[in-house]
Amino acid sequence: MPRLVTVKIDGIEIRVPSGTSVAAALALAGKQITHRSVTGQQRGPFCGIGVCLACRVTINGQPGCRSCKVSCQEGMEVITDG
Amino acid sequence: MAKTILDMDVVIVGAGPAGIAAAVTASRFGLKTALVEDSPGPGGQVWQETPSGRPWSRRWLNRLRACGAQVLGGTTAVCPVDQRTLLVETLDDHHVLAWRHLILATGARELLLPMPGWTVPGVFGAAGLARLAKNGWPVAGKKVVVAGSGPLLLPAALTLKRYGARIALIAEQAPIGRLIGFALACMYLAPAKLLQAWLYGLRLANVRYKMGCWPASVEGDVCLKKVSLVHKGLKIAIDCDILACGFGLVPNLELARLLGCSIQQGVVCVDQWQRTSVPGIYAAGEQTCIAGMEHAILSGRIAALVIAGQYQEARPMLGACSRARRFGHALARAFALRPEVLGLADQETIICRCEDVTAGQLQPYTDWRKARLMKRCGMGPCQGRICGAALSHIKAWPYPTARPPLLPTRIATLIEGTMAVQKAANEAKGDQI
Repeated sequence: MPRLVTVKIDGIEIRVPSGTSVAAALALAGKQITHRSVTGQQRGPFCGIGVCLACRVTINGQPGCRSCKVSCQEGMEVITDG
Repeated sequence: MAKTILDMDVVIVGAGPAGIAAAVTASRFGLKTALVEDSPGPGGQVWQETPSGRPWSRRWLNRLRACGAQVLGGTTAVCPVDQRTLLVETLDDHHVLAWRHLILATGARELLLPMPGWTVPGVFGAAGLARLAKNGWPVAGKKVVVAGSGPLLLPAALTLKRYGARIALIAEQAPIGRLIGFALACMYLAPAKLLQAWLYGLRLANVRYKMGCWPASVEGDVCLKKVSLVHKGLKIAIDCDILACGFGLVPNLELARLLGCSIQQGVVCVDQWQRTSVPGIYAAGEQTCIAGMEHAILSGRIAALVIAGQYQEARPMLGACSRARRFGHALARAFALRPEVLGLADQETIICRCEDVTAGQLQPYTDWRKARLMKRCGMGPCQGRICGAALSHIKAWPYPTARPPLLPTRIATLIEGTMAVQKAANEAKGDQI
């Protein structure tokens, strides 16, 4: 069994296997929406490889992070714009 | 925070097959090598290390681990600071890499084409969704339509199936006639690939695979509900949870363009030794020709051997490398996109997903400059990576120019990185006096 890490997503703690991407953790927490577009539409991860930036969220206070490119670390705080 | 500059003989950007092969080869000759990778770990899209990693990829990853090259994971190339330095950023830090030789191995991404409804959450790239699934994104039990074009649809579908997705259909836009021709060409150019495709076919035996079939639109509001496809002139509607859709690969050329490397016909121009038009800069892998893993490994090795001055060892690889490129050209011909899939967007369809610019809004413009100035098309966070590739196919617009930084970057990275390079330059001047 892989080690579990705890991350906080929009204030709610979730435990995921280490190596899980932040994008995956968001989906596991039931959050498919990462941000709203400039005209207010709901958007979620799209390209899956860090190119489109649709999966961008705030990680540990830093906005605009690509959640598909970052692995969950113990104690990480993630805030979506959904 | 004073930042030091890491002095390297060879800096390689991108740790896919090409970058890894280059790093392993360069290290063999005692060259001080750094490998910069955007993802947390090395492997790229094909060799990414997952708990269920494959043995053949593990072999190269083990070589990389043993070779002594410095692997900088989770590190994004931001921009060059001067002619011989590259500024890179991590989640909470940044570095300046000074290089004597630079190998660009930034690989390729999927071509994602606009169609009505493609901004609805639940539409993904095909290989992209497979990648998300490998990193824990839950696809189990989801009903997925895999669509688009190219041989990557098969491994993508297989990965999704392995993670528990129900594949409703694999839709390949290329017609059956061209695919048969391609299979015949493969017998000579890449028989191993043919075998691989056959094995994929076996493992996907109970999944429907339609050729000459493509997605036309997506329905859904908060999440995807239905995908409409076209097959033999008829519309098919499939209720599903996810559309995984990629129309083949396009090279990641942003860094090469920023560095001033000559680009022709959508790829970085290189000579037989993988040298670009800029002295000291080499390119390998998919950005020089979309031709798959074998070509990536060979071209990465050749670039590193040339840097080490080992032309003798590189020369015997040239033949295989050029044959791999011919496979790439056959691939491009077989999976050429039909005009219908380039014209799926209607007036209301968003083309630039970052700035929500629709096809209708873009209609009056004939080039990037005006589309940028008037509608901010391609000026959002992705810097035109998605709409740029799409518009270069749909409207034949040349790609928008690349501007630094390549991706959204912390201001501290730019300031401190630039200051570190200036300080080093001043000190060097002082030494001379």
